[in-house]
Amino acid sequence: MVGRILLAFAFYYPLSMAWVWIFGALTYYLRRERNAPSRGLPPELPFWPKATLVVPCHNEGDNVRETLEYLATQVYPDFEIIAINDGSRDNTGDILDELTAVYPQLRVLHFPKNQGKAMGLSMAALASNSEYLICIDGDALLDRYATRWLMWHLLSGERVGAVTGNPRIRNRSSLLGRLQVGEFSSIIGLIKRAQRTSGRIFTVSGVIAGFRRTALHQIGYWSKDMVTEDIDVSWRLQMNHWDIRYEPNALCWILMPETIRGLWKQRLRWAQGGAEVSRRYLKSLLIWRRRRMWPVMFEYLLSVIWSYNMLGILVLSFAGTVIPMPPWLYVAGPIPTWFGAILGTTCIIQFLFSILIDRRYEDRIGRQFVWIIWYPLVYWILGMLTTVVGVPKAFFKRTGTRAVWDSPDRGIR
Amino acid sequence: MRAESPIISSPEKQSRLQKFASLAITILAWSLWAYLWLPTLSVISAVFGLPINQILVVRRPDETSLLLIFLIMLASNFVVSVWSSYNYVRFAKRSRRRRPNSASHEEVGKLFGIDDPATLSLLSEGRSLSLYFDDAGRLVKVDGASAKTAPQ
Repeated sequence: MVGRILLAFAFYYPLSMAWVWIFGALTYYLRRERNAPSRGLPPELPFWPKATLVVPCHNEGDNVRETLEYLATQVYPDFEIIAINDGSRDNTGDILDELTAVYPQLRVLHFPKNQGKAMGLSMAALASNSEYLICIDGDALLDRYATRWLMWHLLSGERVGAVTGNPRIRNRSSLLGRLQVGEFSSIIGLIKRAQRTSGRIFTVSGVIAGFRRTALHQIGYWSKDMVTEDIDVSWRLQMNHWDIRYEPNALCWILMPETIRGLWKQRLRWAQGGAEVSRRYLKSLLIWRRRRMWPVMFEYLLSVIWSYNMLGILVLSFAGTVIPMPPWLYVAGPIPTWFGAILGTTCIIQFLFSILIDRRYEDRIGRQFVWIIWYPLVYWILGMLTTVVGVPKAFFKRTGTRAVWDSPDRGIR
Repeated sequence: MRAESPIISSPEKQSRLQKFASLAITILAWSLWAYLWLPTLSVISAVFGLPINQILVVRRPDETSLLLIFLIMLASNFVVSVWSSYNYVRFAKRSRRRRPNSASHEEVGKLFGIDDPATLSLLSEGRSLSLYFDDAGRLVKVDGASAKTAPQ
């Protein structure tokens, strides 16, 4: 009996979520995307206030020239760039100072010691001469029209506190790189669309997001002690009734890990971050005025339960091969035979649907999907393992511990 | 209009073993995916009386479970549609709360413990600044002469 319940949840949860994402993304596509102008023709803005483009950097000597080159060519009439050299031990600081002579819009904040991304962003907000902040990472390349797309949202509603863009994977040399292309398209892209449809978003993408400074001011800016400052700021903004939007035309080209170790470290940080945020805000969400955040929290909690459920199944399956198990604890295996065909079909429908949507933004995206057939399995397994490890890390972390930079794996160059 | 993509694709930087492993894993994954369809093939072969039925693992589909799956898919769609429509109707067309006044530079400075107008002015105009913090993460000094990096 227990085994059957565990198996049923293991199967029905990912199946249900896949269809929720597909239906949600389809609604978004029909309502907001199908007839939207193309990327290169962003809507006219009612006025053109100054925007501050913020780039926190830690040991970005190899990337920051290209990053700033892209920022300097934004199709937007009035902007400044604030780069933060956060305790870099390479030549990032020298390069940034050198580039101030090349780009008149560029200003640089040097932190002699590593203070973390949240501190860098907060200080940029303090130094900014604008109400609007467009934040990207030091190794990311912002598409030339992205600032205008993000500003369009920030100017179109008084309660729009943030807008998240559309990260696209640059490095595709290895199987892991290509898998993440598919993941960002078929899973993360669909989730963002579905969540936007439901009214609240789990998180902005830390690598590309625009913010209204007044909204950040109201919530006290970024938290310095959360490992994922993007999830934290997204929850606090929405808990304070600021809207967060998603703009798929605001493209940002990013580097992702191409080693298993790098991927594991990144995903573990994400899992820990989700758990930290839930732990901190769960109680304060339980009031009627914050009901719009309930689906986000519910979905997150279900995913955590599913992860531990899968762990239970694996343990029981393994135990059943070694010792005789009582019938009520017997688990045959993680994938019920007949239902596999339904999961396989769902997976292909999800892929095809995301290819159809993503064709607007990138040429030949479909060819990447040949490689990602095993990604749904990897996605759920990786999600399970990082959650199982990340949740206890979040719960046993000492409160107030500062989160500082740790240079990530940036793939094959 | 699609993006001019700055994609990095250097498969030549991978070893032969890595390339072979990637290909092998992908073929294996597609094979596993095809394997998931065996029960369906079994049913089809049973219906048409084909001999392939003999070599496949045949398990009669459980009608209750299939119905449950269909209902779950339907319910997922229903819940998403109702909730998103509720959000759209109630919140999309009008702001239910007023936007607070924009935070001035002085107010932002005050929140970070900076009251001195000269420091605020330096922060908003300086091209290359060094910022120093105490152990608690409070901003304690802003220097117009860049210190760049310090070994940690």
